[in-house]
Parts: sequence; structure tokens; C-alpha cells
Amino acid sequence: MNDRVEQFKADVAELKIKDSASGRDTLFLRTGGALMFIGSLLSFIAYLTSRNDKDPLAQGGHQTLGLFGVAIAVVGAALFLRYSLSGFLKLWLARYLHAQRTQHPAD
Amino acid sequence: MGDALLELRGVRAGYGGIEVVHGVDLVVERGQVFGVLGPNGAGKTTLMKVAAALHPPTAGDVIVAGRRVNGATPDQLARAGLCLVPEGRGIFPNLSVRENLWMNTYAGASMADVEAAAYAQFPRLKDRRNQTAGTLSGGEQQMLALARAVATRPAVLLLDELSMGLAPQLVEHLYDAVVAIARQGVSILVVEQFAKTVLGAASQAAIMVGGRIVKVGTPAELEDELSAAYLGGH
Repeated sequence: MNDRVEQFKADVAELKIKDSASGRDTLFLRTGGALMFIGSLLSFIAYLTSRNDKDPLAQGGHQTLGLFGVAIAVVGAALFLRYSLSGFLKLWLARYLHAQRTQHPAD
Repeated sequence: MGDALLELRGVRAGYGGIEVVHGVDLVVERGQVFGVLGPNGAGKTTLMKVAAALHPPTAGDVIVAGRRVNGATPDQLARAGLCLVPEGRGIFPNLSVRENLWMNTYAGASMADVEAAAYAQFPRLKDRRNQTAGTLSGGEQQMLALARAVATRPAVLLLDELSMGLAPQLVEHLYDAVVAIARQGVSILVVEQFAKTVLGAASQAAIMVGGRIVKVGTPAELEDELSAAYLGGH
């Protein structure tokens, strides 16, 4: 058995382990939320500054900034939905499997 | 400090933002039977899932054979030799005993070796090898689950509620087998709601209540604490 334990230690030492999935999910979720906020804020600032500027050239710049803000907010919303939904769906699947097993036990 | 094969350090875990394990520390040494006892809803099964990499911890470290394995997949740990017998046995009810054991050959062992290891531990299964697993008695199904785990030649064995739904005599027989497996050098972490059954087999145990370990000690040291833990004294 000593050999088995030594083999176990060697096998564990050689494992290629990725970063914690839950940590990565949380990071993406927070990044998505932050991007949504920053994008919306950028668009709002572009809207406010464009109201006080009658120069068509400057208006174009404000429009670009506003669109850039919308794009950032959309990307943020997609990230946020993807990682909040995956957490919800994992929980839903676990509950569904548990309910199935309770209704149709093996014995 | 001895030769720890499984160690949990400050492990926290939960579901959908609700934390159910609040910073658990425990160490399972080589060849030791470590029992985690506690009432229903204490977070014992979640702790097992975290140890087997089936559920990610939100904080803390899972250390196997001296290496931090947070982020490892369940199959990586299983292939290395950390084997979980889940609550509810996890056998395939529509397959025969032999076919259930045959699943173990996927890891590379020959069918003859798998059967030899399983039947040596539980001779009763040999007589039932062609019977559908779902038609076995509860005790025999648990034997099959345990035999299947032993046949993988694990170094660390995680047993979740081994005694669930079984008669006391059968439970005693199963725990005799658990002690025999530990004597071969396998480290065993077992969680149980029915404390008395584990205390006879474990060399070290912990009481878990409300997601926290409230006491760790030898079975003799824990016996007095048990009623308080189960009746809400902690």
C-alpha cells in the first residue's frame, strides 16, 4: 500500500490544474457589471456634453463616444448575463437531478 | 505532524450565494478513518463534494497529498486515487452487479482484477454478480458501491452517509469492511448523521453543526458532546 500512496502523491503532483472556475466566473460577472455601468455612464456623459455643444464636428465626436459607451454596456450585459445565468442554471440542474433521484430512487 | 493525504483549510462553500460551509479545517492522515458527524443540514455532503472537486469552494484550500488542488476536476482526482461513494450509493440500477463493476475497467484495470478486489471484500456480491443492481437489497447495493470504490485501488476514500436507510446489523458489517479497508493503508473520510455507527470505526472524528466544525477529537472525547450538538447545544 505504501507504493500506492507514493504513486498517488506522484499522480497528484503531476496534475495539470487550471485556475478555480468559480473564481473566474465571479471575475467575469463583476467585470460584466462594471462594463455595463461604465458604458452607460459614458453614453450619459456624451449626451450631456453634446447638449452644450453646437459645433457639428464636436457633435460627431460626442456621438462616437456615446456609441462606444453603448457598445461597452452591451458587451458588459452579455458577460453579466452569461455568468449569472450559468450559476442559476447549474443550481437549477442540481435541483432537477435531486428531484428526479428523490422521485425515482435506485432501490 | 503525520502524513496528511487530505487537508481542508478554511473551506467555505455554498449554493447560489447562500453559504452553507463556513470555514472548515480538517486533516485526514494516511490510513486513518476520520468521521464527520452532524445533524441533517450541517453541510457534511457539501464538504464531501468540495473535497472530491464536485463543488467549488468559495474560499479556502483543498490540499491533497500536500498539493493545493482547488480548480482540479473530479475526474483528475478520481484517476489519481481519490474516490467518492456518494449519498444514495450512485450505482447503475439497470445494470447487473458485474456490469457495475465493469465500469471500473474504464480506468485501466482488468475486469479480473476488479472482480477479484470486489469479491474479496464482499463475497456476497459474487453470488449476485448477474443480478440487476436495482433489485439488490439496500445493504447489498451499498456493498456494491463500496466494492466498486475499493476496486479502483483508492488512496483516499470519501464515504457519504454509508448507513442511510440500512438496518443496524448491516451497518455494523459495512463499517467492519471500512476498518479493514483502512488497515490496508487507505485514508477514509466518512460523514454520517448517525454518529454511534462511525465512532466505533473512526480513529479521529469531528462534530459539524451549522456549517462549522465545533469539536475535533477521538471518538471517546466526542461522545459527551454529541447530544449537545444534535439537540442544538452548540
